[in-house]
Amino acid sequence: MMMVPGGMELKLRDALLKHGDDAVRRLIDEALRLETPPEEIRDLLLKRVEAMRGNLMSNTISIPEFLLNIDTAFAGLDHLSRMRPVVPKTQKTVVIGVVRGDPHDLGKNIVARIYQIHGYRVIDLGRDVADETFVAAARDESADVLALSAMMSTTSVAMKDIIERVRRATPRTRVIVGGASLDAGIAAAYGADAYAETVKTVIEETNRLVT
Amino acid sequence: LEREDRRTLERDITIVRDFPDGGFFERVRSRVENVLRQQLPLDDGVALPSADRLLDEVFRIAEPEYVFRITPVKAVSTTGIDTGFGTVESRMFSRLARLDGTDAFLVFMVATLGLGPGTLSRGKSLSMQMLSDIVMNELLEAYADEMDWREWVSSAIGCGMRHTERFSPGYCDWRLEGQRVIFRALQSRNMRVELNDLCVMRPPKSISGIALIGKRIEHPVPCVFCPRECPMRREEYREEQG
Repeated sequence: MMMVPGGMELKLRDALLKHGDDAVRRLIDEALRLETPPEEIRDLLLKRVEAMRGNLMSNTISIPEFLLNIDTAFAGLDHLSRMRPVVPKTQKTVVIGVVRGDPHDLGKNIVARIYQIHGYRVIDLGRDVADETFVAAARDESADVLALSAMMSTTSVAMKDIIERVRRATPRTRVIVGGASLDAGIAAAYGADAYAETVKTVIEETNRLVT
Repeated sequence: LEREDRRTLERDITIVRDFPDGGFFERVRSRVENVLRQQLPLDDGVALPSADRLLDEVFRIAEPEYVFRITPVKAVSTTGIDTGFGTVESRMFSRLARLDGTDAFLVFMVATLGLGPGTLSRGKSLSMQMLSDIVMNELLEAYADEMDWREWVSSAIGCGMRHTERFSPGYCDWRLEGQRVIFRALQSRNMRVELNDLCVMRPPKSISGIALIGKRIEHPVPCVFCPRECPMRREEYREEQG
């Protein structure tokens, strides 16, 4: 069985830095043609995503630049899954959404994509989501994690009630919250299991909850 | 203040629905480019052309609206400013009015791009969603800045008055619930922007705020009085003022 073709990691890095979706797809096709296991290609893409996230955490790159890279990496993963699906051994489920009354969903969309790239099964409920929709989705999807987002102080208050109801409906579900109007103290007061200050830390915080 | 000056400054609810002319598009384009150049590598060949196309599109579908009203301040205390439509509960902002007191005027304003631009990012990639957001935010800020100037700043300066910058609920020590004061002052059936019970505006790409006009305004923002570390700081803290 072939390993990852020589030089692919460097080529992949270049393609991601230049936001070259087609170049990434071609590299994946080439690797598959050489019978590289899809798991290894996926791991290589994830390695690059993690390197970029490291750059974001050290402020070497900006969020827009990170997103351009993430889009390209996701295009690659999407192409790979179409060509040769990689079935994870175990897949954790995240139900995610923006609480009722709040129309700001860009942050939530970024976090949802980061979860997808890291192999989570994501149920995205969108924005301005009713409390009972969160509770029903967490229960019906057997969610490992419920991720709640709110950008405003007046809308984030709904989180407390949602968390209490989710605790009763599905006690095994862990809850992580994030958004501009929150901090660790408010998250704890709402009863959340974790608080993600930014997209930089959300994976570490979530992995801590489910492992 | 001379009676004539007061008449010049006071304005009932006024709704304006146009973009400023005289190269407004190019000025917004330059703002967007500056923001992107600060955040992206110099050789990035994707973001700038995409932002240009987005800006064209936003201009095409935007329904700009600028609503404002200017009224005399009713009373100033250490905890807030009584506007006649409710109290602006901000200790920091009220300090800007301390010298003028009831000689000062309050401007209430709301600016929006309408509902159309909000649909632009639907189904787009994350980077396009973020670019759309940057383009719309810069357009909206530029629109509000230039309309402020056109509709009231220039005439206030003409009367020998000074003014503060816009101050919005949810910033500094003014809670988001302060939106209700602004919307009470501007309530009009013809206004396109609505406020829901959680104080969230619709369309989402809207901004609201107040400003002070007065002869003895010393600072445009209350940051000079505040020693806190704050990402929104617009002026240095001055200990002798604090």
